[in-house]
Amino acid sequence: MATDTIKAFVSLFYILMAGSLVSANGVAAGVIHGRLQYPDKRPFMESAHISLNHDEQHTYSRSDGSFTFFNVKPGVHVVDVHDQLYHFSQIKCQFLEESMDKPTCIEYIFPGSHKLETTHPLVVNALASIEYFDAKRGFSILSIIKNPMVLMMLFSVGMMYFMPKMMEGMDPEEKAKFKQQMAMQSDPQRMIKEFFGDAAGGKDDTKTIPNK
Amino acid sequence: MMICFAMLIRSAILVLLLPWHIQALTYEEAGVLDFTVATAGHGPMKPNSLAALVKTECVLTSDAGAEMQGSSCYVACRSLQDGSLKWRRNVCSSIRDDRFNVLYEPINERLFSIDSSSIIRCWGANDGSLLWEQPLPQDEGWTSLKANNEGEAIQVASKSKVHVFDASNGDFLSQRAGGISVNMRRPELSLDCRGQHTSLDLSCTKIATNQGDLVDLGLAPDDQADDLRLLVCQDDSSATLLVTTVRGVSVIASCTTSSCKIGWTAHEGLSSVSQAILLDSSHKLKHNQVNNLLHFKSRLTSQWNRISSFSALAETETNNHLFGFIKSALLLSSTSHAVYGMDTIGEHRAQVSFVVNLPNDSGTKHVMVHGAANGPRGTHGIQGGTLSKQVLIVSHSADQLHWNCIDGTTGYTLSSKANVHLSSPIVQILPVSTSSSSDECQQSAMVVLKDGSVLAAPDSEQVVKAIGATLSLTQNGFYTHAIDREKALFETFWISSLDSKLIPTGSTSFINERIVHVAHPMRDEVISSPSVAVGDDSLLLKYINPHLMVIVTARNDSMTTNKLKASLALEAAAGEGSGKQSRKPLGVTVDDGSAASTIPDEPNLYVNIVDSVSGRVLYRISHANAVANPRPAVAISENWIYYTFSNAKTRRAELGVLSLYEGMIDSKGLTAFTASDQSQVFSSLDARESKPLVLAKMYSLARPITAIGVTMTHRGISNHRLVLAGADGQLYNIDRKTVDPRRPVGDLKEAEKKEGLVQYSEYIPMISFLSLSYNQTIENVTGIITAPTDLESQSLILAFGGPDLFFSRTSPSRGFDLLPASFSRPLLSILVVGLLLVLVIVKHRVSRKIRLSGWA
Repeated sequence: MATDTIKAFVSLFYILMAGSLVSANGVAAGVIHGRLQYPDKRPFMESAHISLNHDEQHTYSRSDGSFTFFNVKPGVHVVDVHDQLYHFSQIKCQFLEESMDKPTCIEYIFPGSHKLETTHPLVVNALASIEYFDAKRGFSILSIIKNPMVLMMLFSVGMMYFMPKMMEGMDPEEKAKFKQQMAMQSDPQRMIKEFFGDAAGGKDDTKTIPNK
Repeated sequence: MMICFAMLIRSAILVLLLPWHIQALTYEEAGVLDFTVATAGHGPMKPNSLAALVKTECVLTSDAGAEMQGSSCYVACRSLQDGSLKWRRNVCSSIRDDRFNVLYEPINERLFSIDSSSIIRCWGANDGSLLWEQPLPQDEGWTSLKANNEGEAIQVASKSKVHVFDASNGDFLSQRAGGISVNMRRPELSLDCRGQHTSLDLSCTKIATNQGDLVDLGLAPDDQADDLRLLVCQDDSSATLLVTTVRGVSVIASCTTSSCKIGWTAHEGLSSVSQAILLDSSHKLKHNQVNNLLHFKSRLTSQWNRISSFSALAETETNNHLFGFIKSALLLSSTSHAVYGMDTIGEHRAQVSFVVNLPNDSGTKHVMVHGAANGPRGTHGIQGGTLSKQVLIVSHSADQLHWNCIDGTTGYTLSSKANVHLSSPIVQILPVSTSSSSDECQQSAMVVLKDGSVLAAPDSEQVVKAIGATLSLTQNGFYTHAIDREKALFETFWISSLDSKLIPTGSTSFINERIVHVAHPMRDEVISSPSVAVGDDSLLLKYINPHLMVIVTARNDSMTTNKLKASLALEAAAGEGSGKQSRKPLGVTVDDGSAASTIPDEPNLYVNIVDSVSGRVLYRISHANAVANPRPAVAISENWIYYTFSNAKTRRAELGVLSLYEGMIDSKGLTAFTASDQSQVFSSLDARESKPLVLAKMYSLARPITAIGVTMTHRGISNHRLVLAGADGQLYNIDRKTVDPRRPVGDLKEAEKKEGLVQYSEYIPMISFLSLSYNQTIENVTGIITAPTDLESQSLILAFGGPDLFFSRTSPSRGFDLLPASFSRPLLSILVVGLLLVLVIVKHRVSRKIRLSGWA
């Protein structure tokens, strides 16, 4: 029993000592503790790669989502969580020499966003799942109808169907005039000649189709 | 009506081509055009390094052991069944860590590691999960790990101290003076498993069983096993062995009393690829297959294959040959001293097809030479590409040269020569392409020595003649350069002939700086147009100097330290005087090798654009607060230069983009009656005229970048996309237009809108949809190469340098000349047949109607 108490005391002392270590060059060193979790507070159980200052130091999250960086020097440090499935905020922590055990931290939901104040030990939420893939667009009738070429074709087919119907109700004189125009359109050479003939004030030698 | 039907068919085809517009991959497309090769990361293993079997499922390996320090920081577990990577962990806690020890404790299946930052960690050996970690007092030199018999306690020792931890939760238990005695294990060349004796033969390339049978390990020439490990010994005397070789090959063998069977082979040298080439290997033949092809049977088979490929529904191999998709990757490993050949397409893709072992004496460096030096038509790029499949591998030490000419697609050695004496060390190796015949190597090199002499490799008469032709290719002569990294000196030379010494033409010394990176233009990049049309119809003339180089230098630490002291003294004096609190501290950086100065805004990183003929600095830009890790990455493409570095102050990665121009011709400056006053002659030696006009912009990226590449296409017409390897293990691609230095800071003018420019925004988002590697992690990429195919829309990308290799085929401007993989040929066939049927029926009905109306 007594041995256990001593072991626990020694262990506690060791952990406390780790909380404010002194680095090799005599500068006080701090510790960053944090925990990854899902939005519903469940611990993030996957092993995520976490870097400090762009991989100057790195670690992995444990099964309860917790992570630790030791030997952190005074200054501003950035914590990035690199997970291929979930997006996490970026955290910046400032360690001052006079208060190495109380870093002040701010959170950026995404790089370049507004900063939010956060507390230490850090609690970093999985904000969103990362999408890499586009949905497969299979064949569908709707996609055919949406195509402008198909729309043009449908319009042409519709006109082919409705034009004879429209012609039926047309006045015979109008119909004859329309047919004459169509006949001219079928011969562009003649149409151009007629156009320039008109423009030059020449004699109109086109044959008019007599009304029936 | 016929027009209508034609329109219908055209519409149907367009609808089937709709997936064109998809930029991101679909889930089904992942892994179709790309692959990843994941290695254990630790490179060649040593006799005392870790090798153990976890739960009879995976083989745990590292280049460190409990009493032997490793340098890679990687521990990995490969599946015993097929050798695939189950997990891999970088067990070191800091980028500065270059030494680590690992211990596997089999009772509780835990792995312990201690790094040079004095962090002890415990890992689950089944899945690589981190269980606990504890810091130890630093600078003790913790080098040894030992577990007690029950696996309940782990002790870590330095020369003078021993600390004991609870193995289950990392609680500190005790400490005592004294160190653990080191018992280095000797490499085993024979093993016993319950009376079953297995050993290596005399050549160390075969396993000998009890009955004397020899089983070949399948090693390449010049490789041999250096250790046998017994992973498991069953009751029936069957044993599972791990054989490791000096070239970093790991072989799993299962041996019974009567026989041995080779399981899988892993090439750990692929984790340290320093140079890579993508070679066209279409119509690849093994050396002895050439004669067989001329047989009547072979010709008939070939014809039948061509006929049957017409009816094939999927992308056929014939198409892959026609479109130039069939490439082999040649990978040079600096730790294994070997060149690996790897297929990038087909059923054997991602597999090592051959290994060429190189001299592995200490201090030997290797270079793969392929292509040619600057072509005479150098105004549109270097034109240094070659269609030859032959590659010259030059291995050199301070006084010895070895060369080896191989067929880069098969690994067949065409010719080689060893132990050529050098009068002084090599400073430059220049590629020379010799178009000839027979058994002569088509690839050769000019080797420039420090004493100013030049050698030919190979030293045949034909090569000497080819080098002579290369030297007199242009009337201005042939120039080269040398970089002395120790002295931070850049020198240029004129080579008049092989027999005469180099003539210096220029030099630049970077005083109080050190060279951290050198980048050259891509040798076989094709530049489609020498100008850019801007929104107001004027032309910007690209500065396409094939002799352009980028040298990135960093301020020396000693100078930084002195300035830092002065700055801090001034700051302290000012603080005392004013009584004000100093500003908040800047981000801290690593002490060693850092390019960063903690003096605010003191430039410490310089990007120098230099001319490799005149030796002049054409343009120089400086940056403050840059850090050395990750190392700045640089790429040159056409008249654009891209570089990245991490900023200690902003804690972001910065992307610098420079675009170089010769000048501008306004919209009315080039007509049928007016000519541009631009000079038609370019000389690097003209100090005034050779300088470019440089446009520069800085952008910020969310992730640090470890390597940059730029997509390359057949004619250079497609968009250029940047390929960025992030420190987070992702490969992103970004359109070049996004980082154009001409993006206006103010409101857009009409001409700028017409040109498609977007208003400047500092932050460049790295969108997951544009990730080439999607949800895979490609760790520590240090190099990216790209290669064109015979289709303009397609570009090939290979990322290497770290423990993972990644290859992909991508479409920088979407697949405008290629049917997508999802294109449904059966559906199109059914549609066309259906429409033809409708046409026949309608025609029949119309003629019937006309006939009936005629009789009415």
